[in-house]
Amino acid sequence: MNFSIFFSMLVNGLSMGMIYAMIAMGLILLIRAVGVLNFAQGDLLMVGAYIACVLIMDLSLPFYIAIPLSLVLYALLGLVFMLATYWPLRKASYPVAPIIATMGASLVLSEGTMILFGSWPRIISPVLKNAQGKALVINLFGTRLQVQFLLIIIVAIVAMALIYLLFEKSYIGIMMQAAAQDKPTAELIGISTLMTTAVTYMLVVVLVSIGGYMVAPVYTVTTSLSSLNLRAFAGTVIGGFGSIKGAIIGCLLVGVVESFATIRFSSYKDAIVFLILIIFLIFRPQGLIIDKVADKA
Amino acid sequence: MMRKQMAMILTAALVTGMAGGCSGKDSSNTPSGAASSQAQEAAGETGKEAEGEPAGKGSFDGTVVLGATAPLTGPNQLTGEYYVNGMKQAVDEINAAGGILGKELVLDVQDEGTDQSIAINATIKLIESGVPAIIGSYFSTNCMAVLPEIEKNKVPYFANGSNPDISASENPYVWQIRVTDDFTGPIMADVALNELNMKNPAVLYTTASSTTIQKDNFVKAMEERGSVIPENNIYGAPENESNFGSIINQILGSDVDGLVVMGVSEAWDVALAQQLQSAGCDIPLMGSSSFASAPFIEVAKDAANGWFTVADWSPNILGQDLDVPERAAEFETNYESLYGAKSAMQSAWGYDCVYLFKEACERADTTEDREKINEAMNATDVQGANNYYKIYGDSYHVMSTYIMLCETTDGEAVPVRTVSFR
Repeated sequence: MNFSIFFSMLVNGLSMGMIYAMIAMGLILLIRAVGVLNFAQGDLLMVGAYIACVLIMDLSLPFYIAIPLSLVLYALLGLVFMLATYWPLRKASYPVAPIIATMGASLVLSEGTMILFGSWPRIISPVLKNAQGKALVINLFGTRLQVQFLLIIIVAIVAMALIYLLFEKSYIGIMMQAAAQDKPTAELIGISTLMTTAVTYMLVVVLVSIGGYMVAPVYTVTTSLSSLNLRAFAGTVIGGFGSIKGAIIGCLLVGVVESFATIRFSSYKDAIVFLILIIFLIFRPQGLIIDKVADKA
Repeated sequence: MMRKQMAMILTAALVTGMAGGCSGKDSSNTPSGAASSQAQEAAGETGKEAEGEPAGKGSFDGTVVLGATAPLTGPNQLTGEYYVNGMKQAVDEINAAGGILGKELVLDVQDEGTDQSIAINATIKLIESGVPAIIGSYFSTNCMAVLPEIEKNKVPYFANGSNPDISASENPYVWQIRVTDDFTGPIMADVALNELNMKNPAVLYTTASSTTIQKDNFVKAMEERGSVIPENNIYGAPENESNFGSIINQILGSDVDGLVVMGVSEAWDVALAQQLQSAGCDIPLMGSSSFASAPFIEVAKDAANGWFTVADWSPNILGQDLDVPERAAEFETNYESLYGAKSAMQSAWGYDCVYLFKEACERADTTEDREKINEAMNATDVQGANNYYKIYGDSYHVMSTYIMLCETTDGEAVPVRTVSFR
């Protein structure tokens, strides 16, 4: 394998790893905040791609209107998702009820999308295009690269960094952490758990939906986008369950491994990812990184 | 504690999800309530359609209900619609001409949804309702799943899957009307070598059973013709794959002189064609039948241009200087006037199956006796819209005779010629 192919496969793997990381980061934020493992995370990504498709392709809105409008709709989707799957069940005597509700929401989202948009894949134009309206391609280190892959990496890093800073460094982030760690005490000192939970859900759905919009021009827009969830789950377990840093590293590893697995084992790339997951579960079940903060939460 | 519980749930979900993803379709035989109700709902809808006013109603001496299964819901519902359209067109034509042995032909279409368990339930429901024959799935996995029920209940079954294992099962009640993948592999090799001048092509296939057989036969045929395809030029991708970036990079970075693709679903094909176009692919491309389908071309748009296909069917036969049977042109003309759009290969298969049933009934002089209708199928010798159907000695109940070579230009899969293999 020459350097050109190596480099293009590395970029492909890293960009897909970044998409998995966006799913995984949202997954962990929800676990930390409300203790809910969200099985509809991939479906939210898929709905995000469809929303962008409707605004950009069907309504032909200009980019500067479509993007802010998408973000608002993603946030609203997050709020509705919380009100439907978490808030009514937060005090249920059966603690796993909100998790089961996300499984139901996953079905509702995928079937609802199918009913609304049909079963056929849809095309969404890439963010950066050439003069013919096709995906912009550049030559980098002798490799012909679709700019969309590089853009995925950049956007994912920026979005995840912003959310990380918001949670770890801002006053509202500290409020959300306080509410996540001890809800009654947080309420006593005037922190609204409804507000902090709603903001967490909205940020998670915005993050994952941005991932959906970024990956759609590469993958086409179909309900099968939700299957990306599985690889994000694998990355989360490999990286260290509960750790954001671990999840990002684990997801990048999954993306790169599945990209390079196509060299000799293209038919078995999912199996190879799964095999690595099993090896981790046997020999290092705690994952690559143990996050002590997660333990406290 | 919470983390351990979460990790356990996550691992369980992963195992379930990955297992589902790997198998592609559920192989369970267990009837499910959900599946049954879905099928009932579908039956209700199609039943209403079947109750529409056919020409000549009132002059019929009773009805004959022909069973069929099709994906009416789920990701394949669009092609399912094409399939049912073809059947309904044939039913209307037959009823307008007096029905079958004086009886009005009615269609009972059951939903086969997205997996084999639903297809099995739909087939069992039709068998129990007493239909004289069933037009089965165009997915090989669904056809394979219902074979035991068909043999047990002795009901004639038109299988539209292309997997040669369907006929290899030697089920006396199963009639495979499509060109099977063991025939298309060598045909694709001939086209690749002689018409597209591919001496060292890469091969990309869906890891479904039927396309794996097609790939194996293609590779073997190339080898027999003196062009050995090295293992590292053969790539597989699962049915749910959408990211072909790494594979495309390897193909375009190697010294191959063409790409031969065996796809199984139009969604898979669209993602691949789009990504090949974005990557600036400039080598000759040849695909299996789905790359010539109307839904693929409609969605892939100009990414569909330039593909050569060994196709079951092309609707672009009208107004072409081609030696196509009159029956095919007549079917396409009527389809377009009826539905205001071009047909798909599924439409032609559905259409032909209804006529094969009608002619078998007339030869058997019954619309009810499954055994006699099945026996009469052995004497099939008829030109359909999609193919010429006959019983040949080289395989068990594989009835087709030729396939089409098409080239997609300006958003249309234009037939180049027919390739007879028998």
